[in-house]
Amino acid sequence: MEALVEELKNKIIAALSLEDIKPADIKADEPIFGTGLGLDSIDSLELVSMLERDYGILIEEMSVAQKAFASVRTLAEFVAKNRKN
Amino acid sequence: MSDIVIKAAGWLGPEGFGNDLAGLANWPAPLGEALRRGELEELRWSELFDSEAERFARMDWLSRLGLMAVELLDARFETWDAQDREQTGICVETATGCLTSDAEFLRLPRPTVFTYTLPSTVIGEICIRHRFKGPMLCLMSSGKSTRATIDEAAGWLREGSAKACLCVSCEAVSPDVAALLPPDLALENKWQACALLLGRKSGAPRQHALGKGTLTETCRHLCRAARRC
Repeated sequence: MEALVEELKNKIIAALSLEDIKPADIKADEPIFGTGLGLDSIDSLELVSMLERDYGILIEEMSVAQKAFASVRTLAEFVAKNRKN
Repeated sequence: MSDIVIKAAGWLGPEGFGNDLAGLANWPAPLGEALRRGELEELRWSELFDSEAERFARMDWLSRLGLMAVELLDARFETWDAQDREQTGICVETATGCLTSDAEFLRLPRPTVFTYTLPSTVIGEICIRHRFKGPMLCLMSSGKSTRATIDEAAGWLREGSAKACLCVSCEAVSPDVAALLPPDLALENKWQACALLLGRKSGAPRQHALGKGTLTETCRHLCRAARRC
């Protein structure tokens, strides 16, 4: 799971062009949104798009996304359970 | 046009960057060589400014260059208070607009790229950073820089709908998109941005008379003529 957590941190940084952020700056158990990363609603769409593109996961309900994106760790658990590729 | 004057100017392009107070400076090597080849990804906000620019790295190149040109101008214009900013309008002219973002979106559709598939997005990014709330216009030109935005801005100033007005010319074409442009689209450069701040003539120092040049010509001339050159 830790390897997937690190993989997702790198994917978040790349997908959102977080030029000045390093993987170590993203805490695995802290909220992804509403913290120092300064992400907005377009970024959430980008992350949903990244999950579909890289892991074959299609998120169709807001409630599912809210739980999955609670933190990088919850996202890793969600990806591990639902990934198609 | 004598009642309307230029209060400040900022310019950046393959040759260098500057404003009408500091003059034009060359890009440091090897950045300059990369920029002359059109490798814009090498150009970072920190190359020019000590300040922070939130989300800069996440913008498209049209917005990044437009924002940089206005910042170069803003660094020169020290007496721009909050009230002035709220009554500042902005006119942008661009021939190539968001073509680079359009091409990127066609290659790989992504939400963060989609937000930049409108040529007017550069106006939004500039207004968010500088808190401009006056009238706004985005003009798609046919190629070479014109005086259309200057004439429009002068009209706003005379009728009182803006206290000051920025005229911005901006092109940002990636090398692969540049290869697809029609031959009759006579761009001066595949990338450049300039900004003029116009206002009513006053007793303030360092005002420039508005000549007959196009927007780009006027910006570059003022920056070249400043003391660094």
